[in-house]
Amino acid sequence: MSYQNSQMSAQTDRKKIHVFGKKKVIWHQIIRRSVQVAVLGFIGFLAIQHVVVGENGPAITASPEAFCPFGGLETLYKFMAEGGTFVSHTHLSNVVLLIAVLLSAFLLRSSFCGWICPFGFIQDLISNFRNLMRKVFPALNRTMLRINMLGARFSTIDRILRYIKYLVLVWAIGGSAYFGTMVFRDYDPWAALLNIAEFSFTPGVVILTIIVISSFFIDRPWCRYACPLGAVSGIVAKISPTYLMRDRNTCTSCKICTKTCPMGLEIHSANTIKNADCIGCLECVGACPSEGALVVKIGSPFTGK
Amino acid sequence: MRINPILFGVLVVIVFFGSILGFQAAGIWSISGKVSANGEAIQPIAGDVNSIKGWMTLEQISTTFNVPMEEILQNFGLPSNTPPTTAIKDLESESFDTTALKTWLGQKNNPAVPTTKEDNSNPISSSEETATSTIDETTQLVPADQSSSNRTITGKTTFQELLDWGIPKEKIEKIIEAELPERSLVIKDYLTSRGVEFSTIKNQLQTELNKIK
Repeated sequence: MSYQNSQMSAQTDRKKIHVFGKKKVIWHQIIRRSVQVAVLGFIGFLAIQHVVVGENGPAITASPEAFCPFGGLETLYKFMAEGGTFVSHTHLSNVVLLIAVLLSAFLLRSSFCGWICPFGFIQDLISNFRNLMRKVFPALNRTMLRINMLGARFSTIDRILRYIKYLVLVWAIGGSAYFGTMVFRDYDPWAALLNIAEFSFTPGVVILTIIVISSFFIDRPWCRYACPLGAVSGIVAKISPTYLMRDRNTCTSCKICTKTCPMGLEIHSANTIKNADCIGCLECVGACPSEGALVVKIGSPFTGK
Repeated sequence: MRINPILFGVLVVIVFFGSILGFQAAGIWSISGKVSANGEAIQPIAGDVNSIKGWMTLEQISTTFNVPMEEILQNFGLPSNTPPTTAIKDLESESFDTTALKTWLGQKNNPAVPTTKEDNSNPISSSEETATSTIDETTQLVPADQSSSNRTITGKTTFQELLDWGIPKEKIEKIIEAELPERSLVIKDYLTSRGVEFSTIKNQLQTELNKIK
């Protein structure tokens, strides 16, 4: 009986999403996308300006790499051990951005990844394009459904692959500290994208291509499996007082939250979402048809209260 | 406590961008090795080969270290038609790189002063601290009769020091385009208060100082 009630309640709430045939405006997602567009636009402008103006002219133009927080992590050892010096291609701005990312992660989970990171946004754009294509071409939709069902059988592999990012993190930081250079840079798809105008064929270009292609099948593949910045941000986020809470009484277990999560987390079966992979994008909160079933809370990170 | 998702988004923006703005306001920010935290262009310092960076042009090196372009090109076997605006790093080969240039200029200007290993110094401090440390190192390494050749104008140099080093008062006044102020004043502070760029005047004063050596 209670199940029927909850189903009816869910149907009523779902109606709230569509008002007079129009889709409900999810304001926090509009803010999120606006921030992502602005940041990507800013980085894009810097990248183009750096190519057009160059380095040898009288004007000093910033490299877009100066705005990468992970550069701060790669140079951190040298910066601290050698009194304010940096490994090549990094500056004080990288360290400042790293601090801002870690502070955000501590206070508001890995919100940098979900709300600001331009590389994450590019992956989102590809995934959204894929979703659009699925709507336009039913045959593609059927194929994708088959692929997804096949992929669901390999969820164990998915869980194992998620640990790769921690290995990348150790290698990138350890290598930079030991060799005094950015060992990760040649493999970094973001650096490859920023320097695409140089037409240099690096492993990063290959990884970037793999990421772009796999984004058509998996949401945010780089963030899920290999991003070392996401790894460190996720570790810090584990002690964040901010988390998501699912109200079992209100939740209808429709699984929309899980299907919407770009990081592939099983939200519908968790009581509190404190996973290190949660990027705080709040896609699940916006998509949830039951009012109050999924909320953002501040409390103890350990007890979930 | 429950947070509205919109408030969460606003907090993300405030925390992330607010902390960056906070650091910028405190002067803890630099996006390039070419500018210091206060936006001042970093330039090679005459007499301090460790101030040379790969992005600097041959012209800058030639002017600052008072070495003809032809001599640099000839010494490293570089094409004689190399444009003066070419960055050092763009000319790197087996026989030429930033370290080789530093070593050569260091030996040419002062054979007694060893060059230090190249590093990517903090842009905030590179123009001032490197120069200061060079003076300190030279004081220890170079005999007293050679120390006068390593006088370098830094952000801490006073007008009194310029006079002590032998630059005539008139020359200083001509360069700063004003009457000589209180002699104990730090040159950089004086110029900054007048809204004049320190690096330009510093290079002119350093050139004048080099003539005296």
